Amino acid sequence: MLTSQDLPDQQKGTLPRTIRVALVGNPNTGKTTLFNALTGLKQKVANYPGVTVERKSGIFSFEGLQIEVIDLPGAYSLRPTNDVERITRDVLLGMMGSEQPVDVVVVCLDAGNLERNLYFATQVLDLGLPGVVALTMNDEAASMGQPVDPVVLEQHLGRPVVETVAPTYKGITELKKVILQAVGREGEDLPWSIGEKVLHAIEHLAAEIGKHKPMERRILRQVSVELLLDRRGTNRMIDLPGIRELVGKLRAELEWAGVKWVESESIGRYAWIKSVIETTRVRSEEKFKPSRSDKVDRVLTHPVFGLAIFLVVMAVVFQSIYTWAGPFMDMIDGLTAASASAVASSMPSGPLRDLLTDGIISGVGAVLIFLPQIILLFLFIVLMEDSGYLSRAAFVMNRHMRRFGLTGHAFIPMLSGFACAIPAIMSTRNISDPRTRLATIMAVPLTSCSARLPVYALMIGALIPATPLFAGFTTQGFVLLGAYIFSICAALLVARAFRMTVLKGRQQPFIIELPPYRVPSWKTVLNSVWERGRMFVTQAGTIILAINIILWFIAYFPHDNSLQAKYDSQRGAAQASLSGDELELRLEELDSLQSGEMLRGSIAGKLGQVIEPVIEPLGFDWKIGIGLLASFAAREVFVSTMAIVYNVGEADETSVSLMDAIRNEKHADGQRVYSPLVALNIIIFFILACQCMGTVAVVKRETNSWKWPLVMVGYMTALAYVTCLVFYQLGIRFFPGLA
Amino acid sequence: MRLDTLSFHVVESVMKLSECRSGDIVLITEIDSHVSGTLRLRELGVLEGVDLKVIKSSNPMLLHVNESRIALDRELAAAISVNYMVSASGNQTC
Repeated sequence: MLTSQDLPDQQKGTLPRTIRVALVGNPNTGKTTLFNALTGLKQKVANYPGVTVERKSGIFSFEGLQIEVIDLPGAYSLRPTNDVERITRDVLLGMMGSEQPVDVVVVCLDAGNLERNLYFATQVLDLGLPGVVALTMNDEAASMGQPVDPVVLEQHLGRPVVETVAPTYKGITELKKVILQAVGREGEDLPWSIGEKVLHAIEHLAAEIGKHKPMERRILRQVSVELLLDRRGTNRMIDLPGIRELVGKLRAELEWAGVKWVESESIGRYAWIKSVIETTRVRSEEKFKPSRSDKVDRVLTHPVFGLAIFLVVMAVVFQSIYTWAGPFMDMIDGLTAASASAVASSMPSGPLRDLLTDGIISGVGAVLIFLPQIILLFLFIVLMEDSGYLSRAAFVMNRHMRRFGLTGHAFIPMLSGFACAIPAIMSTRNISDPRTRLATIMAVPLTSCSARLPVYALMIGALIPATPLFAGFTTQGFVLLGAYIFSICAALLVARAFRMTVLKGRQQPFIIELPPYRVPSWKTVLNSVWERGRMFVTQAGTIILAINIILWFIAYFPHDNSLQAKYDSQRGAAQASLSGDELELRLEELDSLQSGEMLRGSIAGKLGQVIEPVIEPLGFDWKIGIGLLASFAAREVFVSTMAIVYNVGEADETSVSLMDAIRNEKHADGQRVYSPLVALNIIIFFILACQCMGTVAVVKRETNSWKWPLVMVGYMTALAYVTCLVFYQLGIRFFPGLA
Repeated sequence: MRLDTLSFHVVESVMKLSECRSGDIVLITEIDSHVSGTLRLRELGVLEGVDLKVIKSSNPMLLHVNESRIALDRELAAAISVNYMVSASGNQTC
């Protein structure tokens, strides 16, 4: 076994304390699995400053040295077409200010798709950084009858090639060893040719750029290749003095000489790759032999069956979120109640105890209770993503998305929007056309994110009866599915409205890879679900907790002690004259009367009453108004607000649960506040209204202006109000049974 | 690969990829580089001299290129000129 002592002397002297390794590769090459195998659980997820692309890094130690691995976003080319690929290019080219240069690049190469993977690999190796190649999925390639010979590949590439099977840790130690050995060893130039005239132009351009910005020779050359040949123009070096003019002049000269310069890089690289493949990989006899994935795809990408299966999958997902989460939710509910009563019995009564039990414990508990459902939703989305099904869904949905002025790419952010709009808006970076991207950003907040789920669950659980419909579906599951379908329709129509008006323009072409189906690695899946679940809990613990405390204050103060005395004396009277069930009922009634009167006198109550005339035509009373005001910053706060609204001054074990409180809530005239119609209207309001500060912030960041976030808040608020108004007014006229 | 070696393919029955049927195996002869999206296709391995199989001629089309399955708009496929190698009906033309 090699240790750091075995390294050549000149290399040992130059070894930095922490070795920085960048892990790169095409999407779907097993890169994340390899990253997990290298770093184990010592991972860190952050954002690149100023942008919202995730920066995933992890540390492992080997032979007494610390090695930091940065998992760069998957890319097909170093000439980016979207913001995610741009991050990969910027880090590798040393153009990302916040990121130190890397010591070693590990290129992940999928043996089952060697041609296309080698394209990006040769671009990366051309940068001259010390490079190592990790050959993944060679077992799969062998089973397809075309294994890759790593030894021959190593000779061609001039860099060490290590075969890895990440889930079984085969080759991982070897890879770590090779990474250490590679430090400080620049690779040789690959012998592919771009053509003499183009090369000449590149050298000319590189010399010119080098005058303004000194860079390593080979990086300079790659920058020049990009500036000269890529007309998509995403590199800001073009703005260096005189460079834009020089690029134009060189292109014109090449054009004049009849050189196909646009094509030169792809033709040159692929010609060389073809010669490499011939000696490196056994060719299976039958070309274009349908794989197992192709057979599955005959059904799953079918315009009719594929769509039908997709809808069934979604229906099952949403029903199981509702049923499977149940036991876990009961558990969290029990824990919350137990800790609240433990605090209540161990502290003297007073505002501080009320704050702890009513404000903090029940508030956070009311949010955490939905963690099981959110985890399940994330689990399903990650499973679809990692199995390869998500891109089939995008393929099937493309023609339908087209009708709304979007592409199949926009479907993935829309689907992610069902988990959370914030990462969904970030994932619009995969859409290269700016208008399509903006329209998607405007529409995504309408997709039904997980923060709305608590509101649906509360309203459906409290007010929609669980009447069985068919095959295990109940009216409750049906309403939940309906909410999701309504939200996706709203999102698509809004996208279309934007594409037909302010964001009019030609459609960009749709290109997507359908990766082979794979059984997702449980480790990777659980890791992603854990990461996202952690984000939700952190949020519940910070923003939501802060809002809860503020809410508790405005719902508690001014605290009228004479009210407490008044109701205590009535309780005393009741205890003297009544007994048994009658007494219980009377006491509950008094509790609820007291909470109501106290809330009405509080700051929150006053605010709710101020907006009551505005929301009354929607069927909402002032208490719901408090919930709406509170949830402007974050929707999930609604549930905990309602818990506070209906439980003020009340937190012992006899307190009625939130759902019962909602069912029993009455207007002054004795009419029920909540009817199924009001429940549906609250659901509709929560689908359409923009009640998420995080979304506003991310839209501001992604569009780099205040215009679009303001447009978004404006149109969503108007849409929510008008739709709910029409729905409720029509509802009470035509379906009085529901009202 | 030199570009002039490609020209001999462009002799007979030049057709657009968008006109192909499911099951056709074709050789790419020319790509109109002025159409946006073609550079990304090149990077994915869809370029002159490469043969591919049309898995689905629906819109979007689904192609089998090297080991990749790549879906693209029919509109974009119209920028790609091809020659038949094997047509879906089975008769070899090359």
